[in-house]
Amino acid sequence: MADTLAAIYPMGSMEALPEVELEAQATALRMLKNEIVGHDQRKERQVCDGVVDMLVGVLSLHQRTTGSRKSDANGPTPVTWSWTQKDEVRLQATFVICTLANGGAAFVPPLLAAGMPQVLMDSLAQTTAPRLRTATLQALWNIVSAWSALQVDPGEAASTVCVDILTKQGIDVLSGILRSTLSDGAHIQQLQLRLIADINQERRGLSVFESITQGGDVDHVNALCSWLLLLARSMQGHSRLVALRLLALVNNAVDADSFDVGHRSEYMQKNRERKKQIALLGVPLAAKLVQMASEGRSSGSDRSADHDDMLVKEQACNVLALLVRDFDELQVAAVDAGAIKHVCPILKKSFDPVPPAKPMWSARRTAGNADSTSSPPTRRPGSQGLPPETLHAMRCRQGALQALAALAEKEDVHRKAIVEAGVVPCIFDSLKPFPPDYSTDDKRRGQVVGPKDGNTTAVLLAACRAAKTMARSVSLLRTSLIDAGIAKPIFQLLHHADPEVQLAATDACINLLLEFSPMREDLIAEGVVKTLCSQAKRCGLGGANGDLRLRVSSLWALKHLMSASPREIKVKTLEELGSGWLIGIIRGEQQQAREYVSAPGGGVSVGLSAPNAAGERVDLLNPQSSGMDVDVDEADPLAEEDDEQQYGNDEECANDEEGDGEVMFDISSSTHYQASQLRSTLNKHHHPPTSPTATQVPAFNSRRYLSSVRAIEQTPALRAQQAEVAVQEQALDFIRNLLNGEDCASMFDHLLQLIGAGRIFDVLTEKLVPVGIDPATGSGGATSSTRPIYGPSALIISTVNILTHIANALPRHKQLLIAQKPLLKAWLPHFIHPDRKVRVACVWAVNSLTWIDDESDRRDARQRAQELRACGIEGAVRRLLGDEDLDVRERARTGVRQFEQL
Amino acid sequence: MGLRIVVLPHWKAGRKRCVVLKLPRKTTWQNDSANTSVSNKSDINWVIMDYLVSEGYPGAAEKFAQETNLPGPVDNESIRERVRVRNAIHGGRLDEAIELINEIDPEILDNNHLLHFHLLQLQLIEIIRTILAKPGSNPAATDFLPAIKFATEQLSPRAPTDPKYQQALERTMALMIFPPEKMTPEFKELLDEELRRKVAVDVNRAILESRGERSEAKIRQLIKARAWAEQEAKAAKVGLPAYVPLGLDAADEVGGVDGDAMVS
Repeated sequence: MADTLAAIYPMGSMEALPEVELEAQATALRMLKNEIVGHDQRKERQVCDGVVDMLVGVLSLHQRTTGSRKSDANGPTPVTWSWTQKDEVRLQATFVICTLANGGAAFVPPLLAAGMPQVLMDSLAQTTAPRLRTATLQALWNIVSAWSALQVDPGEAASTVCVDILTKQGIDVLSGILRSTLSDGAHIQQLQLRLIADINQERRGLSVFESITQGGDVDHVNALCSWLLLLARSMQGHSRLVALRLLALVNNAVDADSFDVGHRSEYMQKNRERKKQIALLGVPLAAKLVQMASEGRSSGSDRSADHDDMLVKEQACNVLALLVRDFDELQVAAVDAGAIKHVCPILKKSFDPVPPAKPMWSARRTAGNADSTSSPPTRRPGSQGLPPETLHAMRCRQGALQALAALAEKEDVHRKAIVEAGVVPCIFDSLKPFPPDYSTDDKRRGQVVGPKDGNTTAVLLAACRAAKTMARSVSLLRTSLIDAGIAKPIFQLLHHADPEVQLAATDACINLLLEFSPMREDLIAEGVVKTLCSQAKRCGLGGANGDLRLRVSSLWALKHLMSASPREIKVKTLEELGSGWLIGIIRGEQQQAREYVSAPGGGVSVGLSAPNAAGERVDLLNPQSSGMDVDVDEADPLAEEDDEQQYGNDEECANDEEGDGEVMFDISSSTHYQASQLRSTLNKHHHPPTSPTATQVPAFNSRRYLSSVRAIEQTPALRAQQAEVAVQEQALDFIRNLLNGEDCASMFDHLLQLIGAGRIFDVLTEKLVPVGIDPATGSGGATSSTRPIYGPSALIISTVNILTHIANALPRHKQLLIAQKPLLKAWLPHFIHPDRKVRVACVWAVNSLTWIDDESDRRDARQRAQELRACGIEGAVRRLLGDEDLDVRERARTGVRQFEQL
Repeated sequence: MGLRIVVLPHWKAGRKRCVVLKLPRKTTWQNDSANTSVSNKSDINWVIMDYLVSEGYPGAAEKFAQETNLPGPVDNESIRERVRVRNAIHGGRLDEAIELINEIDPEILDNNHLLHFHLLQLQLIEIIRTILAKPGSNPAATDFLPAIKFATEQLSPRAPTDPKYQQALERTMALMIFPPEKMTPEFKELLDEELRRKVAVDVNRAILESRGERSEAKIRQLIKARAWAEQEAKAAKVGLPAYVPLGLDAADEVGGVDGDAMVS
């Protein structure tokens, strides 16, 4: 066959083919297509004979000759479209590519070597003929899905090959098609949507949809969601699944946008309506598909296509997870629709042994491709990857774990139901990677990789996520999770070669290291301290942003380890991290962090390590040690609150990682995203200087505001800055937890010894110093009538809490603290901070400072109170008596009483 | 005046429930147009149109559209495509059918191995049939060479991957062994042209599905739903008459049109 083809179709003579030859070419390609459809062995032979090069030649040749006529891909379809012979040739060539890519992972290397994705993308940009366009999209999708099978091959260095369809140009082309699809026939439109959605899913990219929803207002999005719901309900099987996935993507993309619209009630209302609609109409549909996948029922009424059912099985759970992730009401809706009941059997079933498919028979005994290494890469099929049955099991498993992770995100009831379904051992089994020497090479076909032999990277990631969200339940942590022995495999994954797996395992560790986790001891015995410390220190050296995530997570885990740990663990961990390194991290002593902070642009710049505004240094007062006890009464509730906060934080972090922007952004302080110009105008709106607790915000052009915030948020510099703030917050909280507890005084002494009082207080002062003064209201010192511009409030809260802990140590530590004039001065403006959490923390610290431990401390306490009065803090506390927040008022009342008792 | 019971499937809160409509018993279905949803004339016409389109009768569909003032089938060409495929299968021209399907969308047969195998099996049967039909007493062994070559190239590679392929291939090959008059019914079945029709239905369905369209005419679903409802009503002992006529034609009087036969 190949010989005849070569005869009809000589490689050399492809230029300026006359019409007759074009017809011959089309016929030859059609014959080739009929030859290989449904016959994988023949496909392989054709590739070895060089069919890929030939196809690239055909497509690019005709693109060049016809490009000028059809370059307007985004414009309206020409009314009179004539189907030319050239189009026919391209169509047949594209069909052949579709069919080749269907052959599986083995065909990806030759297709990629020939640059096929780019060729198809170019072709897509140049055609408006619906048939050709659909076929081209199909070919792209086939390549991408074959490629994703190759990716999970444990034996393959998959990172060496990658499909890069979603370039800027690619996105433009795809969204252009989305915009113009309305003019095509309805079914082609559906098909195209489906293909585009799938291509996107494979790359886990939202980019195309972002470009669609961008600029669209909430009504537009709601209409889009309603249409997608309608579409989903009118379709069956995989198409329905794709519509639901689109719905999830659009919904998530919008939600990622709406991080700062808390004050726009109308907007919130409409968002809520959309969620409700999805909860009632979309989620049950997804749950139904999961149920069908789990029961092995065919999804349609009379389906004959196994292929479609297989796709539904593999993806139903994933889509459900995508829909409900981050939205607790949708999670509840999913569980109400029986999601847990149906997801768990899928997970269990993915471990069942499957009989490996018997190989196809061939009349021609191919004596091995001895010369295969010498042939060019476009003629060399690669490895087949995992056996299809195993791959299927892995995908089902990954999807089920994703779904469980999403369902267990918020509700403890859901977590318990998952445990009761008996899948915790499955999660444990899913944490085991393939042995490193595993290979799926054809030469070692003797051993077949079964579903129990290990897990692909995607499964490992999903399993870590599931373990993380399950571990949020304290009671499960102490029962089923410890019984399952979940700590050990997670610890081993910390050393996995893939950085994403490392990160996911670290995230899972965070909860396992909590004070009340029974797994803490085991993990410490395994050497988790050393591992986490080296992770925290190792990453970020290259300056790559992504790396900071690992640092944040590692520090987070260590922070949890610090709370209520024995002294020797604390000391050892601090030693392992290095006190100098820790201080450096808190100060943000990374040069690149400063560069953009001081970037010009007018207004005030947000300094992460702003210079000490207070300038002069004050002599230290003699620390007076009067041998008093730690203030246990006050420290305890605080400590509890701390834990809760950290616990809550963890969930926030999880959201944050998954692209939900709303958490990091603090509405009331709105500091850490904002750069120069915007900030100075914003604060006027956000914080009217007269009221410290501004809730009523005057109306302003919210859309323009949103888009400006978005523009700013998307700059890499600000993302880097956010990451930097997150690192600093964890580092500060590390110290805060270090100081928390019975051995507060001795730990602080230890710190003083290691770092030195001067350096410690310098750092704390640095963190507190307001970035500047709002030019609209004040021009000088931070008096109560002006509105200062604060640093990131997370950092301020952490810092003030450290102050509280210091104030709760021995009286001499209190004295040391009160002697820090610059610190007190920098602290004062935060008593009118718009965030109530900051104000509460401030008053707590004052209360600790003014506490009289015993009679011998009374004189010192009085002196401390005088200092506080002198620098205006007492007045600030008194003003908080009228605070709008009950908690703040109560604390302030205690504070004032303590002042008066002195 | 008694009450006629109509049971409709209804979904509520994820659980299957029945809604029982009580209708006046004595009225016929046609007179009930206010109460039953399908009895509206244009709705019925639509259902018939849908049947003509999805089962592939483009000429009839066009005429029917003219008579009933319904909009004609949107995509006549796609119906004709399916008709060509069906005719090719019915006529035993399987190679032509496969090429036509690949022209519509090569994904159909590339992904649905079973369907592809069925078509190739039919093609093998046709090859054997022509050999058997040759004038003369018994075909010589060498006459079967084309059939064996075809089986080796087209069908055998997939045969070992699943018992169902293997069995089908073996049985088809057995046609070459037995003379037609000595065949057991299970082999005769393979030579029966009914098999072509069965495969043609599967192919039609696969093509419709590949276009994202409903793979079955609405009227089939309605009849199934009706049969199901009847069954449910009987199971619930709501006092249904032994036979409920469809009310479409005179066959009603004879009884047992196809209500129960459709349930399978």
